[in-house]
Amino acid sequence: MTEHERNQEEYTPIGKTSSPFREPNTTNTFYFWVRQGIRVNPFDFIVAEQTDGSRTIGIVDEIFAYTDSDSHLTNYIGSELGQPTAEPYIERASAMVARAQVLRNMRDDGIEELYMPLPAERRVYFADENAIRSALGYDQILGTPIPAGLITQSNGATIPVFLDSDYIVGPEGAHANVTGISGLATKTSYLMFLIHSIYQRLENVAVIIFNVKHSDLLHIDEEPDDLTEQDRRMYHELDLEIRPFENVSYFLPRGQEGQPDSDEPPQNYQLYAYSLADCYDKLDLLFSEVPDPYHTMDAFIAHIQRYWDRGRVTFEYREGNQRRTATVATWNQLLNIPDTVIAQAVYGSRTHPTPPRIKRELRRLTSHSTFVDRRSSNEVYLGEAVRQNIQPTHISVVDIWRVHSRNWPFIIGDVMRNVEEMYRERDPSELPHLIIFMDELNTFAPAGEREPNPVTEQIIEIARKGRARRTALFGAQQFKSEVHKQVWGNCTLHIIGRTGSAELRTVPYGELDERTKNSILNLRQGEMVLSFRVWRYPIRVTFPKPPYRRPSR
Amino acid sequence: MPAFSGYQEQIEEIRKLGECLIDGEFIESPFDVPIEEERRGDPDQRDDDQNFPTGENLCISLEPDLVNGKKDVRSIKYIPRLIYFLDGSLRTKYLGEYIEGDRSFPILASEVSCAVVKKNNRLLEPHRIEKRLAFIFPHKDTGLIPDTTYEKLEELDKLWREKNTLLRIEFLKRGAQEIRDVRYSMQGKARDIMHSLEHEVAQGLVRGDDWLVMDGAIRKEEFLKLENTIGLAKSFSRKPTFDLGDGRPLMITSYLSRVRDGERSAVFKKEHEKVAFWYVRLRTYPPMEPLGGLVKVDFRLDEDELSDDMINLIDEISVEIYAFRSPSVYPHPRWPSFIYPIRLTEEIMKSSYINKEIMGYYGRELKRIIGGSKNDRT
Repeated sequence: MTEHERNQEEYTPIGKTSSPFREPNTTNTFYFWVRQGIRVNPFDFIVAEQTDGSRTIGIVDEIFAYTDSDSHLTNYIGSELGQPTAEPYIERASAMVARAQVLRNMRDDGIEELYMPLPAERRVYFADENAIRSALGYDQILGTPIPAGLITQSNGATIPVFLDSDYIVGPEGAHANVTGISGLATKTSYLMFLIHSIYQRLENVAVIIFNVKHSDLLHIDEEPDDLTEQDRRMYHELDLEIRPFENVSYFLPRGQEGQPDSDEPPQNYQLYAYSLADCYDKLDLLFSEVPDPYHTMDAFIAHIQRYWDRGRVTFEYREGNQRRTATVATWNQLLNIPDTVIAQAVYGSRTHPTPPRIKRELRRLTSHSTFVDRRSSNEVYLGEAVRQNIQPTHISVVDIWRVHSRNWPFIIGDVMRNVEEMYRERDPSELPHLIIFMDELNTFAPAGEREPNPVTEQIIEIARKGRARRTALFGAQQFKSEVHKQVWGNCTLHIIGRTGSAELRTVPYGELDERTKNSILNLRQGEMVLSFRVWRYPIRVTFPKPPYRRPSR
Repeated sequence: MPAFSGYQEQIEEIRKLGECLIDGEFIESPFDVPIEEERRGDPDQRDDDQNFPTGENLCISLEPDLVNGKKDVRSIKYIPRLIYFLDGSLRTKYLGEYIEGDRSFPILASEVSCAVVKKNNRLLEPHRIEKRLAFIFPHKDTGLIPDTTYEKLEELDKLWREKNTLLRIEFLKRGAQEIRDVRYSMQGKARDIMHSLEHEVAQGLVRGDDWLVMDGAIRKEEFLKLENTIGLAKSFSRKPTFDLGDGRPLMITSYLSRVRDGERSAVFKKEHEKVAFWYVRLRTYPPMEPLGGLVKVDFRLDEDELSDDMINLIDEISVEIYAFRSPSVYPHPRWPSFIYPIRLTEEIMKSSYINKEIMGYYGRELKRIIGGSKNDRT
């Protein structure tokens, strides 16, 4: 369809409102029949003329195909008593009737909005950009408009969608969560596209990204090589520049022989490693997944924190009548200290069963090459390095893909705790907006009845306080139902890609009505449903691929 | 399109009607919403019955050589020619009783509609709809209505016609109520108005060689003048008897029960009449009464014999009618012999009926004008 044809189409009625006795229009919903030959789909924005000259904007949520046939039996009989090949001599009278949810009453006379139901016989049009801007409240944006994708109307028109930055990265609201089937839903692509939008629109923003898949996010400062013409056109329509991220610092885990343990490492990077001195006060994060019903592990962790002094921890014990001390400064020393020493120093008994277990767990949890007795000069302590990199326009990418997943909570928890400490020590207003992108969020902040572990607590803390601190958690996972309620409940933006019906029936999707859920089942790759707290109804958007190099696998 | 199609404008005219009746008294219908007048029997069948008065019901076959007096038409090739479909509709409501001195009569409001749908390939589209809202009064010669009131009503009708409103005042024919109950006569009058409207609409169609299918019989003289027109009746008289050429009259039920799905009967004609007719069986399954699933086709035939061309035409019309059985209009009570385009015209007319609450309001407004003025005088 040419632009001229589209313009013509915008001003041609596509139908008229209908309010029959059994299905009257209400303040929230109205029906309209659709002119023959017009294509209308769920999520199309439409406008109807109100009685007082104003216009009511709605979004189509369901379409019904009516005929005058009374029943299935009528149709069966009409088809030569059940002959599928029979062709009726004439077609039945039929009509497509769409139902729309009222989004807003649009007027330019300054009078209060009118939410009386639309009467019957009012003309209905495809909404133009102005109407959509009004429906999505662009005139009430408090912060900066953030491009978040394009609405594609069934008449071919594409209209940019903007989010209010104050509701994404604070202070009015914060956090985004994306969910959807792996691969089909393009969750990471969408969040990275959104982060890129924010990065272009807000100058005072820092980003922390955890790379959890191959080298997907290890080249975000390199020119893209897979953008299509359509992607470029979308960037143009969204008024976004096609340029990769800048000021990116990559933090890669130290591997064997001091090489990065990463897939296809970027050219410039820093290795991160953990010595005991880096972690002595964060061992609770390291042991976060280890069951500790009698808090005996806690006692050990508390002992190390309490007795850590000048780069070592002291264990006091008795040998015969002699009082002795053992000092430990490295992981290896800790693993080799006799069980009886720990038992006496921590539990006051020579034969306590916990020390062997502690050492067994410790061996398991520190087996990766990123845990070292001493960091080399080219290796950094991640928590501190990321913390220092929280500056306007700076991006920290932390690769954890090849680190065993049992260490993921520790690495992420450690970064989060450092961020938390930074906020405690400094005035948040001095700090930039901070976005933390975390994939597989359900791994770190799982749903469930049990008490949250230290890492989950860290994430919940950011979910609860982030709004005021202007820190936003951008999380992604396949199943939101597996994420802690406090985490998704605090999000102002929910993004849903194609998702299974079983998942959509769970509690986190309770705000979506059945029609939206059904539409989500049919989303295509590159389509997302956005549910934003300030909108009355979810919308569907398309978006371009993020503008950086994405290594092919 | 008639003026005053809006309710607000109509109510002004109804008030004028009340002004004409101001010398009397109006006893409003006891129901909030006026009740539709009861229809006695099937009007289509009753119309057709009039074509077969007692003793004159033998119909002679124009195809005496037709084996078993029927023909399977299903495999006959045809050119689609049945393009326009016309039906009329009638809804009569009793508003109340008018009393003036020792004279009285009921006031009935009849909504009369006529709609035409046009077949455009496989699609049907509304082509025309005409409406009237008629108030029917007795003739002045009957002594039921005072002369002055009659004259006022005549004047008002003249005004309404000049303004081209859909409102009309109609009077019974002289003597009509002498032979029947006046309310029954008024209903008959309403039916006449509907037939007139049907004729007016049919005559106004510009349709070239396209054929028109009218619902019901076309025996009335004025309909016979319409070219390329058939009447298609789903209800018809049970009175005729048939002579298939062997001199042995057959009762309608025993004859037509032979005619099976996709077959037509022989073509018949009564002596000295211009209308030939035959029957087409649309359905025999599911099991139904012998005359269910049949339609009667009326067709003007000036000659007393059928030429081969005419037989071919009748066959083609028959098979096209048969094709119209789908889509079905089940579960309408008469669905087996109901074709969809006619059903659609009914739906179109139904959608334009005056709301029953509004009709009740018209009655109350009449009461307010007529009754209110009388009270003022006293």
